[in-house]
Amino acid sequence: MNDLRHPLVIAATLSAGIVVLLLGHLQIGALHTSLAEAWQLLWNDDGSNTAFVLHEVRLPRALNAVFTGAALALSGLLIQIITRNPLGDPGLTGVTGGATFGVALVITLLQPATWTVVSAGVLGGCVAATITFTLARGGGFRDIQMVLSGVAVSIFFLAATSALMILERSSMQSLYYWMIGGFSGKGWAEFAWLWPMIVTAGLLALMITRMLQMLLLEDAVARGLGVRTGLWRLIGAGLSVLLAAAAVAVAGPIAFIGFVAPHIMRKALDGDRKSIPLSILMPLTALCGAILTLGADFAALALPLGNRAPAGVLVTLFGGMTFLVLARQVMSRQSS
Amino acid sequence: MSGTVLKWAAWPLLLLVLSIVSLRMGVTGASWADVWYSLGHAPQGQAGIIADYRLPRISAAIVVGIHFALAGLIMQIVLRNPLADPTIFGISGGASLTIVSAMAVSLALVPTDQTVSASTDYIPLGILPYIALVGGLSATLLVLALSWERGPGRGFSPQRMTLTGVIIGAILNAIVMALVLSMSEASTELAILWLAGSLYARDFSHLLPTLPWTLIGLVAIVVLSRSLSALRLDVHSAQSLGVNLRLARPLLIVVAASLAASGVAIAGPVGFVGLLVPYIAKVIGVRQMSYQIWVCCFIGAALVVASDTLGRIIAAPVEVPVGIITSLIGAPLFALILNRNLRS
Amino acid sequence: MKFLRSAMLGALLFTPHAYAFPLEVSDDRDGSFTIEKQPERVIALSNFAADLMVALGKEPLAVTTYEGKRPVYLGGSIDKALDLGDITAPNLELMAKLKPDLTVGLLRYNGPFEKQITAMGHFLAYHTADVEKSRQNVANLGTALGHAEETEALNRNFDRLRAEYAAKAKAHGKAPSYLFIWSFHDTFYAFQDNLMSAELLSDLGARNLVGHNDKVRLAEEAFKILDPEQLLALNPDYLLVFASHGGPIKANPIYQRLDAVKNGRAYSVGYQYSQPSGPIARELVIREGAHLLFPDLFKAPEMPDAARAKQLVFAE
Repeated sequence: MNDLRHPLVIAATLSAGIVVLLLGHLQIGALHTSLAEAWQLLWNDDGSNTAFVLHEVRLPRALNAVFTGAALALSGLLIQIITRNPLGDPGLTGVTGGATFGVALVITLLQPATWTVVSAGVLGGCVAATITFTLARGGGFRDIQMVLSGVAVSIFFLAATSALMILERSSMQSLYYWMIGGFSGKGWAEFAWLWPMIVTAGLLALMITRMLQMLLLEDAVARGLGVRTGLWRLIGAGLSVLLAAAAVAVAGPIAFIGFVAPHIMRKALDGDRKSIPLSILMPLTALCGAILTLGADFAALALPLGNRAPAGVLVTLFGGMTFLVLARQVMSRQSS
Repeated sequence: MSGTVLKWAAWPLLLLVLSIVSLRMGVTGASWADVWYSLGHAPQGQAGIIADYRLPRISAAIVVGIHFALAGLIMQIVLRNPLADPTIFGISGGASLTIVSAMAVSLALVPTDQTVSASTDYIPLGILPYIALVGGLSATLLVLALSWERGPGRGFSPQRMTLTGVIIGAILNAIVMALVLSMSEASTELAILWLAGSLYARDFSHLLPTLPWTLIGLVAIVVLSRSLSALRLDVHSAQSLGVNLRLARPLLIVVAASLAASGVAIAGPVGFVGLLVPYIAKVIGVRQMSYQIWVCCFIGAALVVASDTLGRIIAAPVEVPVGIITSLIGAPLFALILNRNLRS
Repeated sequence: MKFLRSAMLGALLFTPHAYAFPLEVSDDRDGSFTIEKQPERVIALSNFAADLMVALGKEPLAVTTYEGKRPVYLGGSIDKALDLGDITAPNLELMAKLKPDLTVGLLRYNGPFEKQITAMGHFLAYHTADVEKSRQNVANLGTALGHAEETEALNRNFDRLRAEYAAKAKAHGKAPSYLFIWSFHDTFYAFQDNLMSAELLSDLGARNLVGHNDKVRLAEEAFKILDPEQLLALNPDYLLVFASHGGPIKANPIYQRLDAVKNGRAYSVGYQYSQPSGPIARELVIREGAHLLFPDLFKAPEMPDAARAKQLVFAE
């Protein structure tokens, strides 16, 4: 029985799942391909439209989904550690609102080139999160102050986005589908921006797991051990923001992966929150986020839902339901 | 004695002056004479415009301001957090969700080749507050249910209520967004405008169905003011004063929810009002509970009236919805307040 | 004979139309009402209404604007009309101050505010959808404005134009394929034949690759959202894109593989294509659309340059 909970088994299962879904992504699309064909074309580009689509559309779309999911999950985990609260979600830092506003600004005022959109999103997210941190610094980042400051900052930037949409109605139309989140039309241009940010932030996060682990202890204890809690909180929060900002700038404000993935993993590993080493939890959470997002995107592609269900909708519905199920258990496990 | 009277009378006076000034301001110019005549019998011309458009709108703004401010006041006291607000707690989200769903349903029910009989937003106005209330109260009940703690710390801890509320609020807002974006394009645009919190084209027919709720809310808050006042103290003092905490907290939250939800029924979710107003009151040194209630009503009303007027004139002929203005003004004000809060 | 007919028609045009009133009218809402006399002061909230009024040589008192701009395809004819803001929330105070006899709007945007608008004067609200509806709306509004004969003539001319162009296009046996797309950043709405712009283009004998939607209830729901791969799979001969914000659209490697782009047959078209139910817009769509889709057969029409179709460009 213990084998099922073994981290390596879980990691292997998740990775296998990701590979399967990836292959599924490569196969599915308007230009029908069988799996064998897709595999062939993946390695031998024969210049046909099908090969083109495989390399330029399906593959980067899937990769974007994988990396975005991993980024959001990791971001959520970091927030949960920093606020020491299992109900953390990347959007709590205000980063989603800020990223949305950045994108809205560029789409309205400038040309919608990928590099301007993504960098504006990242910048906007970081600015918003910085404001949140500045507002909450007195509370040492773990209080409800931070949570509510983040939400207030989000409201501000979303209001600013609404103002833009109302004053320039074409932006309202362009931002419709962007805001619901999805991976249609996201290709190598987006991925080129995404992967360096995610990999860097992810690696940095892995490097500091020991310090982050300390943050789960009571502040007094941690400081007694010589840990500068304020500093590490800030670093952790900064990484969380960068990850989330990059993800949102590419895929739109997809909610909940960040909240849900860490919990799914904790449940899978079946340990007390404090006893799971972060060096294990982190990579697994990233894998979990990746597979969830990839799965949602695959469902969006595969299910005959017609016009109306980009990945973002499915993620919201799934995340919402999962939250409700998990919330009771999380609440009862949380020491008050 | 006269000091006390002044203390109490200053606020309605402030609101009155602000309202009169707001009546004068707008995209179609007006003079003070026009404002004067608008209040009279059968006003003509510009005075008629003020009477038909600005007067009802400002009245609605006042009511909306009162609702959200009181809801915020209650929540901040009960949740023991100076940063609580109905729009982030899920109440507005719940109310918005039910209203937007109703919009979607009613639009879907309209037969194509036939016509639509008048009612703003295609939903009968009288029902709107009830729809909002159902949504707002359901969301509140959900939050309460999820934050009920068994075991040694029985009851509703402010901490858990806040965090649950924020998460539920985020979920509901996401669902509303998804719903809005799945409607036809025109409905989406109307829904987005409504969700920004807007007083566009609001008149007395929007206001009157909500007034009973204003009354109920005010009566409830006055009746419960003792409990509310006690809740500002720590738990033990409150209990020793004979206040039944386990009853008072959820009851007061329900009152807050009804106030917020019926405010949403008029203007959509107008953000930040509930967050800021009680804090402004505290910052200017208001302590006594009954006075605090009084002051919050008037500051809330003033904030919404001022924001709406600003929204009407800054980008004319286009209007910037009042909810956007309150959020944009609210945030820097909030930052200031938060800094002060942390410094003290 | 022809001279006599024109003389009579001319005489008719100069005859006051007051005899037509009072008039019982109904629009796309419930019930009907009476217009006592010919409307002189008219507010045109929708492009359709402004379009028709310009075609009749009348000036609306006020119009709505899209991002602060008036429809370019109408030239400068409505520059003097007051700007009421966006059609989703036209400024009620400004409208009331104008004391209109008649306000004409779109049912889906202005319908919810019927009460406020009818308090100012008469209100006509229309659904816009396809060609047949356009003819009906033109006749209906034209009659309400007291110009029944002119609008009848407008409709007849329109029918003739359609038939003429269709005959000429089909005679040459070409049937180019096309897609008409409204682009929202990453998302493409491909219009199906239920929607008027596509219907007009398909009437010419061009093939709309997303066809006609037989299942949908409202014409405004007759579109397909295409992802880049579907675009490539369909690979139309001609690509007409309406970019709501104007300017370049977001780049995607798919575009360079499309035949339409490679052959220079991808165009960015003007605002009049988005909802061409007014007489001027619908004629422009036929004339310019024909020129774009059958360049050897039809010349470019006379129209304001700013409203002309241009080569599609991408934002890198």
